[in-house]
Amino acid sequence: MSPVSPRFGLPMVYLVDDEDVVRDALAWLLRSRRLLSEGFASAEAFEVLLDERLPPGQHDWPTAPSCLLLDVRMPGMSGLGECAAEHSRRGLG
Amino acid sequence: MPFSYRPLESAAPGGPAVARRISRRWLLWGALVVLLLVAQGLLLWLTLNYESARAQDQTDSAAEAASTEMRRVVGRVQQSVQSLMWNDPSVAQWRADARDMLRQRRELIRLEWRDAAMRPLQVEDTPFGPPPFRQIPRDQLDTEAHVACATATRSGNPAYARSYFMPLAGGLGHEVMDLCVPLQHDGQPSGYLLASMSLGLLLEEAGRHGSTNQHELSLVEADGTRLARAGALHGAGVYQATRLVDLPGHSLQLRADAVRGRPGLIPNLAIALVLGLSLVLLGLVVLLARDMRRRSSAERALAESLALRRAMEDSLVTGLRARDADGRITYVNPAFCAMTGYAAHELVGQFPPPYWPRDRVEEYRARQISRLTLAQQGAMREGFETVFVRKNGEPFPVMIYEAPLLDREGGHAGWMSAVLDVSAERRMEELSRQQQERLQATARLATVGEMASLLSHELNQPLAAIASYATGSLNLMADPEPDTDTLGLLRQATERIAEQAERAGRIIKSVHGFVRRREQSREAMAADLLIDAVLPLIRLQARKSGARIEVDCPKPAPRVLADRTMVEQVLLNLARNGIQAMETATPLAQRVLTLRVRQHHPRWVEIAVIDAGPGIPPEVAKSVFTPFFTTREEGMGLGLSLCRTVIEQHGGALDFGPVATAGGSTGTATDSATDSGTEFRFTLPVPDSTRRHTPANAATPDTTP
Repeated sequence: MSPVSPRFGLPMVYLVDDEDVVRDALAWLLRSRRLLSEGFASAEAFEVLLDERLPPGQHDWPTAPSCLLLDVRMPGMSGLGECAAEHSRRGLG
Repeated sequence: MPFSYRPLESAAPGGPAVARRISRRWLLWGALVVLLLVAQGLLLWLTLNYESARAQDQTDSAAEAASTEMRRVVGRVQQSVQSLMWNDPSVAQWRADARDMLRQRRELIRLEWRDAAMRPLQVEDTPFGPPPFRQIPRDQLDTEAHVACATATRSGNPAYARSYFMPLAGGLGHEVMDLCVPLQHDGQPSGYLLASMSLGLLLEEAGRHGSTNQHELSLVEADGTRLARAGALHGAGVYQATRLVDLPGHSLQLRADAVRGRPGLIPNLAIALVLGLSLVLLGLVVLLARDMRRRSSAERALAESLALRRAMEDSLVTGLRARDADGRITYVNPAFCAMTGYAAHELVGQFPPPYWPRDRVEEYRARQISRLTLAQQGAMREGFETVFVRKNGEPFPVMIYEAPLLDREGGHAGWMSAVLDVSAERRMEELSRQQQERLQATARLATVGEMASLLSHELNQPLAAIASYATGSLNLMADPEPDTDTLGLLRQATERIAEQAERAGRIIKSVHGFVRRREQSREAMAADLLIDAVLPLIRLQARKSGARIEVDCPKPAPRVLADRTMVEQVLLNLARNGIQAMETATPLAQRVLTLRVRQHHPRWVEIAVIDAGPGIPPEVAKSVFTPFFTTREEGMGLGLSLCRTVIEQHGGALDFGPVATAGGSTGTATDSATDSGTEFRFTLPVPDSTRRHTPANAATPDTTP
């Protein structure tokens, strides 16, 4: 995998945390390091994004190096649950 | 009977044997009675025999005496008659002499002087009574006289004629006997002197001289016909004796008949006494036998009840112990022996009893004396608990119920105690208490843990945000040439840090507010109420380690304003700490935990929990109040810090120090004794109303500890 995908530009950090304050603080911290981030209030909201961007049957999104930062304790799906779902989706077992 | 006991005698199976024994007993009784009756009968018979022989002898001698007397009287009469013819009296002289004689001797009825041909020459009659020979003329009645005179002539001596009956006027009559005295003149028979005498009067004369007042005397013929009798007495016809009175020419039979009849069945007093005594004896024997039978049956019943009692005592699991008035053991039952491990002979008579703990004998002795004197005043039905030591040295708790033993006169003879081994119960109690405690500790732990986790989660977010902003800010500041954009970012970060810090503060405040809500449950109460409420729990704890609890509280107890539940928890905590401090190094006798209440200050009441443990080492003393610090394995380390928090919420203070400085109120945590024990004290506020009631105290300046 090439470090930078021309199609999708810069590497991204996806933040999933129910607390706005924490999300905002983390985004601010990443920004101070010149990292792009995108925040989601819940695991379900992140799933919605995935459904939009990921064509059915494909596994190669995102092509750029990305990071997913999950809060463990959240209303709805927990961080660990989301992590397991993502793993199975990408066939990582 | 719910359980069987050994019968003393084989009562049921020995039916025939018992019957045989009973019949033999009756046989013996019969033999005794028969023997007694035979002896009595023999005695009676012998006595009767003796009595009748004696009566017969008396009668015999009376007859003998009477016959002798009779002979004498007749002989005297004969002499008198013979004396009439002495000196050849003239006719006139003879008549005078004869009259004199007739007057003197009543038994003579008639004197006749007859010639040789038996023709009467002179006749003199007795002056007493009617004249004789009127009914029947003399010549018809002198046949016997002729025979006698013939005999007299032949022998030349006076002779007596056979007696004959001479009737008198009025149907009466005399049995008359004639005496014929032959008269001689110059060797030739010249006539006869005839004297007629009454046999009845003769007999009377003879009887008068004899001492035969017990007998009837009579003269009888050979065929038993009674000729004459004398005396007013009548013979009974039982004891009779006959004697012959020989007279020349005729003999008379004299019979004595005792007045006394056949002897009675009880002849005399002695026999009556003997009989009575033996009857009384028989009665006594019967009474004795009955008494013995009753006694033996009572003994059997007693033995049975004794066996029953023994079986009951042996089946008991409760130990029984009897003590005399000095406290010496007089009796123990098997259950008590099994409980203590000593045999009965090792316990009876011993003082002090071997089951008393060796190091506490004095204390037990004092307690026994006080208890026993208390007992005499009555009222100690409820039991008390103490500790005994088994033979193998193992101490065990017992419950003792004691009651005074009374002797037969109702006097006080000792004490009877029922002793229950409660070690199993105590073990169960202890076990359940420990479980309870563990459960509570777990619950507390869960609560505290939950609270901590909640708090940590709540606080984590603002803190994490703050940390992020701070790190981000540091990153920005590391930029060697900051632009305005950067400065704006920094300001934003700092604002958000302040925001989040404030939020964290709010969370903390809300927790504080939760704690503060408990203040409303404070109430005014007497300090001893607090202690009384937790005392049972403390005692339960103390029992395990053998410690004693002493409460030192002035009367009336000072009042305090306190959250009852919380302060009770503090007291419990401190007491438990104190008891546990004494468990290892302190001798049993010195394990005393004192709860002391004092009011040194008008606004504050001090409550102290004083143990006799080894004290707190300095390195431990520094961190005693640090949360989560503990010296015990199962401890959570929250006890003392929570206690201090509770007391401080009341506005008071909790500190500790060695007992040596108990008087001072400012003992510091670093002061710690080595072996004098530790004193934990805390203060509680006095309710305001008390303060108002004592205006003198209001003047003193408030010194909040």
